[in-house]
Amino acid sequence: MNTHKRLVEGMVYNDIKKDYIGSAFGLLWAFVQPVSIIVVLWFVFEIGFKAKPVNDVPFILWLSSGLLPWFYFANTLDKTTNSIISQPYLVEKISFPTLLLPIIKIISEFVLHIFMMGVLASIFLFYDLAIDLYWFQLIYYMFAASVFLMGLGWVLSSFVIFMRDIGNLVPVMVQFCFWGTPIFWALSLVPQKYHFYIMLNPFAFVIQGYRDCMIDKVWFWERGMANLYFWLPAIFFLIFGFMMFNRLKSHFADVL
Amino acid sequence: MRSENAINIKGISKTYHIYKSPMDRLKDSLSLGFKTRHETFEALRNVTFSIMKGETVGIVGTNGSGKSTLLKIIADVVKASSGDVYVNGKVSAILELGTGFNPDLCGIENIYLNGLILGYSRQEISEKVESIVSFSELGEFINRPVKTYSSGMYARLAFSVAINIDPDILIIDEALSVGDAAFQKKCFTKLKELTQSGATVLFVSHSLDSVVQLCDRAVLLDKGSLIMVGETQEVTKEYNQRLFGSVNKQNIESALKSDVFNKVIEDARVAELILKASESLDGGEIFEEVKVSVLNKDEELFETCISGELIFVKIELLSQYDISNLSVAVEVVDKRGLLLTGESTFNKFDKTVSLEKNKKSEFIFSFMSEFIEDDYFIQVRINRITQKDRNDNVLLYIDEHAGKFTLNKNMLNRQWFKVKKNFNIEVN
Repeated sequence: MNTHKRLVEGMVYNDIKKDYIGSAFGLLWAFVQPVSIIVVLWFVFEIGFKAKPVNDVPFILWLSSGLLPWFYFANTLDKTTNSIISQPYLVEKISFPTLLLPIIKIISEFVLHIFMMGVLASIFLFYDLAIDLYWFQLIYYMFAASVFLMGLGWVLSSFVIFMRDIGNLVPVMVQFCFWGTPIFWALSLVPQKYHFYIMLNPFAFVIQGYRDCMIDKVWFWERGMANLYFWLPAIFFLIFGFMMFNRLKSHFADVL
Repeated sequence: MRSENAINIKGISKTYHIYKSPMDRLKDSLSLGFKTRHETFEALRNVTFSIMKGETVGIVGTNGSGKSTLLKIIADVVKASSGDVYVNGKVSAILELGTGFNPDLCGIENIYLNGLILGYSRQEISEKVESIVSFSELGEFINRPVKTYSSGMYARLAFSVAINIDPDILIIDEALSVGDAAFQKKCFTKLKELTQSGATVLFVSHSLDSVVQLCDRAVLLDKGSLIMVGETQEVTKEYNQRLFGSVNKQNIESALKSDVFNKVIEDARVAELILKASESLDGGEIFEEVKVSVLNKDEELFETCISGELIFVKIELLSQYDISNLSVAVEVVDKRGLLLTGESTFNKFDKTVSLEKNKKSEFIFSFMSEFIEDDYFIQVRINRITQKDRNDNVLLYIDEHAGKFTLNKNMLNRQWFKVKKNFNIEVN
């Protein structure tokens, strides 16, 4: 167990280092990338379209609070799906606990996500908006997102080895889900009677949850059954993914 | 400590399923439907043996005999279809020229990665990095991405990591042959050090010489089955016999067909006898008697003499048939099975010898025993050969232990090397 922990730590470090530390500006890029997207959006919507504040919160903060968890989802799905086919040297030549590969990618992306959330929190403070108790619920929603990604990651990363098409299908699905999830549009714009169906989308549950913490100030238990509708498929995927992965992993070396 | 087993293998089989497409494999492994969508290939069949701690064991066999599959199963890269594998300790493996190196990371980073995978902490690896880097002699390249390495450099890094990381069990598959001679020698020395400190080494190589030099015991595989486990010398002997056997067969079949062979054959039955002998390698029914005696300089039977003295090998042959085109050879083999030197009648006189029915022939070979003090074997071979280029060379008889002698230290004229060659030295 301890060796696995060290292994995961080391590989997460390598992951982050490879993407950022190796370049001249280092970790600055991890900062520049999301900030530049946010700045562009801010410019387009607040200066260009004169978007109105939502719930007395500047539009840009409202948008970012949905966009950042979405980035976490989208990037992690991409990385975990390819976590095994992109590292065949860990499967063919040595004995490596492959079950850890998707987990390592999730943790690397999570570290970056936390970092970006820190940046967002400081913008909130910059606008003189308090960081209150509601923010602590973020832990719950981050956990929820990660569990969901874990199950999905095990399923996708093992299936893609046999069906390479999945690698192309995932980004398309992610794009599709982006517009089906209340990120660029507020849940409140949709008539109440449809909320139930929208919240069946696990992405919607998490992203609305982030907004509940930072903007709308809603406790998670006030969402009631939506919690259950999220956790049922999430746990199903977790168990299903774990079982599939274990069943398929002995074939990895033969197919890669 | 030594009696403890490092590796226990019980009834291991490995059946590869061969699929037309990965999709079929997925469907099969999820057991969708009752149809099987694969053909099978048995790479290993019910293999059982165990290896003690501190042993160096070689695995020999022809291509496709299952050596690599066996190593992969022990290294836990591939799962056995059935049977039990018990491996006691940290395993470091170099399989088919590569360990788990990330091509984008530099040498140093890969050393850390490999160490972590083997279960070491960052700090433990830091202590070893220096020795690994200096062992690899990669210099500047150690800080460059592994994808820029040549295959030799890659092998160097793989070897340096695997050897210097203090594994309990080291598995090496063919990898040694890539490095240059100097590096190979360094690896051999280090391997010996490792085994002396109690590590277990499993070694696959096509070069029987390195198996003989390194290994205490050997395992012989053929077509996925275990043929034998035992002393290196016995196993390599068996392996050679099988290898020669099949080469022999090819040679003799083509020779029997060729006109040359038919012209020189005196008796139609002899051809058949030759074929038989080439399978059993004990001369079959051709030779009534093959008597070998090893004699000292006074032409007396002996067991021990002083290094450098003259030795006679007398071979008495009695044939039941008229048979021509033979070559008789005497070779000196050390106790680990390494062929040191030898001579044959065909080689010496450039022509073959003939035997007459029921008439005793005597061949006396003599040589100076200029070898280092040790035990040696005399190997006697009889070949049938007609072509100068030896392409119809057929082995009829081989006795690896036709004779034995022990050399003692020559105090007057010390022998410093395994085999003495005469050198000319000119000083100007």
